[in-house]
This record gives sequence, structure tokens and C-alpha cells, in this order.
Amino acid sequence: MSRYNIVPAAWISTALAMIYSSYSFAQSTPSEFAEMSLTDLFEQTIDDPSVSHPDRSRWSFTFQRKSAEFKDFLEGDNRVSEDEVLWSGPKSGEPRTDKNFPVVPGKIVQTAYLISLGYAFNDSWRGHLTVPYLEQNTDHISIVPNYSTFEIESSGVGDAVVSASYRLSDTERANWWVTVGLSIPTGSIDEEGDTPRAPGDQQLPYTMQLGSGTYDFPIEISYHSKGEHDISVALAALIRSGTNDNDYRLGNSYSLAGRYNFHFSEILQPYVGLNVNYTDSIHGADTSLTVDSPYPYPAPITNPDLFGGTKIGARAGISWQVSDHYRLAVEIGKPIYQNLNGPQTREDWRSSIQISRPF
Amino acid sequence: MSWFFRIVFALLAVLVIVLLLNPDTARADSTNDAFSKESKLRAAYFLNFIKFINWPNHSQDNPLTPLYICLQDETPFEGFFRDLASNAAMADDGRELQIYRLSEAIRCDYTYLHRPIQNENSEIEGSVVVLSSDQVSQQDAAIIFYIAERKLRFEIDLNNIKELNVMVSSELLKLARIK
Repeated sequence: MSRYNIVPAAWISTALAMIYSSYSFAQSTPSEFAEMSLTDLFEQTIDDPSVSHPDRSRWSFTFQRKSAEFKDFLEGDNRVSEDEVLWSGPKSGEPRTDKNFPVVPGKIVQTAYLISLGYAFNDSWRGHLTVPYLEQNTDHISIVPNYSTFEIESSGVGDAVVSASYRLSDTERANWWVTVGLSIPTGSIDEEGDTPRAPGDQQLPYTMQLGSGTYDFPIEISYHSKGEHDISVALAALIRSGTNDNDYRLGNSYSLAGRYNFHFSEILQPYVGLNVNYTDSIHGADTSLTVDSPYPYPAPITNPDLFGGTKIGARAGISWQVSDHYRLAVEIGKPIYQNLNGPQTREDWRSSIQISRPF
Repeated sequence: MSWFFRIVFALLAVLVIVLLLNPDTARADSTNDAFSKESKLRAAYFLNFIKFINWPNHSQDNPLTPLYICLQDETPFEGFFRDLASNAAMADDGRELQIYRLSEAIRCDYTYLHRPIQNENSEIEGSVVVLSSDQVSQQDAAIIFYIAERKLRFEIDLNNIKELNVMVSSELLKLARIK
């Protein structure tokens, strides 16, 4: 099966699972459980989740919209102005270096719509399928005639992720989960658009592609304290493998995220969080993005070395239990420190809104 | 920064493998009185037992004497038990169920403990004490949960029952392991 055939199959199975899940939501209630006789209870094993969680479904469903905006430049943790990154051209007398470019991105906006479906095989094992739909937009300025300002866009299905989570431990005070997944290269790495590199449509830079083009492995270990203080900590990694059809591999990323939940009420739960993220630069290169010149990269986003770095971000959000089964969460985040392989466009802010039907 | 994350992940990978291979981890759910399934079954049993026990303070002349139920503080299933009890509303004989945390209770007819009580506790004197597990040691416990073949079972200490002067139904005794 090619990676493009996987996409409709994933959407169909998602739709079928959603239909099925709407039936599975109607399960036995606590009142029914309370009416079970002693002999009924005597027959139950402690492994049966439908007994232990009579008001829970085996299915979970999440729809999330995530958005992030990037603008201005950083080299390491130092600000670099757009004028410094934009090369003024041969007539200006400004020397061309590997730190300035005839084309520079102004603002990058990325929006992802994620549909995630989960299934609890039992209390210890859960499986998830997540399919993203991405929309990306970058505006540029350049010294190329007829392209002094231009915009490129791409959109489509990104890389689908299947994952399995195992509960290492669950006590009245805390639980530990480990998650291992496989990211399937269902997102395109051949998105094209009109750039100053040549007339007509050409291959778009790495940031505008929808997938990695490689099979990748998300791994996470998480801890959730259920004591007096509701704290979650997750250590995660996305390990890339191989090289894609365009001869590159995106960098591995590693993150440590913490979150503190305030229980002001049963329905509304605000939270604050902090996360540290490190991403490697891109390995290899898509040579179709380069030009035949001593300085082959026409824009910073075409240079594979100018990706990745360290980011520390703060975030705050609120989770609202809108009904017995559905939860709405809104979050905003802002980096408080960035050290980037630059010059690179720095992250300005990010936000997310999600509606979920947890297990 | 890369080396830091790589070292942390390598250490965690080792930790995960050790945890997965450690038989104690596999038994964590049962030995730690996990919040989820076992606890909820315990809650349902704990509520059900009331139907099969007759307390001496239950007077035929005053059938509405409340039954004071005490849950030891931090009982994992407290919220779930309160939901179950509110659905059941009252015991079969019409008694109102009053549920308290042990630290807040002034009287207990029926008590659930998930860990031993170190000091003498006058509130549970004369109370029918139910223990969460046979791994918990409490001398005056009347009913003790244990697990056999992945099922939750219970043992009844007849000596302690006799001292409490409560009547336990033969139906309950038939299902119990007798001590």
C-alpha cells in the first residue's frame, strides 16, 4: 500500500470508529452498577474494564486545532534584524555570506487540525490513531524582480501516528504511562508553489512540506500525580529514521513538559505549564531547493543547517467539563527562551483549542 | 543540549525495561490497591454487605435510625462510593446511610480501612470493620478482601463478628471464606 492509499483508509476507519463509538457511549451507569447483586459481583474479574468503569467508554475521541506563528529572526539567542538577514544584492556592495539571503520569510503561520481516536483494550493498554490536517502560510520579501513580496501556501493531510500506551503503575497517588508510536509518512514532501527560484511552480522549502517522508518513532514516558497537587510531567522524543525520497531526514526532537492543574471547581480547571524542547537540524538536503551559486541557499528556510535549536515555553490554559463525557480545553503558549540554529525565524506564540471525549 | 536529552532518554529507556521486567510492577495494580477497577469493585461490595448485616442498634421500633458509614481518609473509591450510595439511596431495611471520613466522624457503625490504624480510635469501637486487603493488618477487622484467580473475594472473621454482636446473613457467609 502506498502512503497515499493509507490516507483514505485512515479517514474511513476513523469515520467507522466514530460511528461505532457513538453506540459504545451508551453503557451501564453507576446506578446499574449499584443494583448489581452480591452474586453478580462475585462473578466479576478485576480485569474487566466494563465492570470496573461502568460509566466509561472504551473509545476516546479528540478534535484539536493548534496554531503557531513565527516571525523575526534569532541567531542563537540573539535577535537579528530582517535587514541583516536580507541581502541587498550585488549592486549594493553588501557582501553575500552564508548568513544573508536574497529571499527571507516574514511571517510563518501553521495551523493543524488533529483528529485522534483512542481505544482502551483494558485498564493497562490503550491504542491511539491520530491524523492531522495541516495548513501553512508564509509571506516573504525578496530582492528578486516581480517577487519583492510574495506568499506561499500548502495544505493537506500530515503524517498519521499510531501509538500504544502501557500503564506502568497506577496507585491512589500517582500513575506512570509509557507510549511508543509509529509515525507513518502519509504527509506529502513534494508540495510546490511559485517562488523566485524559477518561473512557475517549484519544490517548496522544508517548512512548507506536510510530512517528514520517513517512518518516525514517537516515545513518551509520563507521570501524573493524583495527590494534593495535580501535577503532570512528560518526557517525550520523536526519533526519525532513514532518509526520505528527497534525500533528507528531519531532526529528532526531545521535550520535557510539566503541567500544574488547579482544581478550583469540578467543572473548570485552569492549568499552567512549562516545556523544554530541543530539535536537531535537518540531516541531508533537498537539492531541488538550492541554486547553482557559491551560496546555494536562496532563503534561510532552504538551508538544512538552519533548523532546530532549544526552546523553553510557558503555557496556560483552562479545561472545561462541558458535559458528563465531553471536555473543552483552550491553551495559549509563548516561548520565554529560544536558542536557534540561525538565522532562523523565531516562534512568537502558539495556541490550541480542543474538544475531547476521554475514556 | 542534545547530549542532555540523549542521556536522560537512555537512562529512562533502561528504567522502563527494568520496570517492565520486574514482576513487582506487574503486580502493582493489586498490591497498591489501584484506584480503578479493584477499588470500584470493593466499593460495590462494601455497599452490598450492608444488606446482609443486621446491626444491634437497629430497632424495629425505630427503623429509620441512620447507619453511620466511615471511610478512612484517602480511601481511593470515596467519590465513587458516594455516587453508588446516592443511587442506592438507603439500605434495604429503609435506613438512611450517613457517610463520613473517619477523621471527621463522631460515630461509626460500619468502617472501611485501607491501611492500619496506628492508635486506638474510639469512633470505630463496636464498628464492623472492612479491610481493603489481606495485606493490611488490623486486629479487629470483621471482613477482609483478598484476590484469588483475578477475582475479588472476602473473608469473614467470625470471632470478631461475634464480639460485635451483629448478625450476618447466611447468604453472605456462604460466599465468604470463614476465618
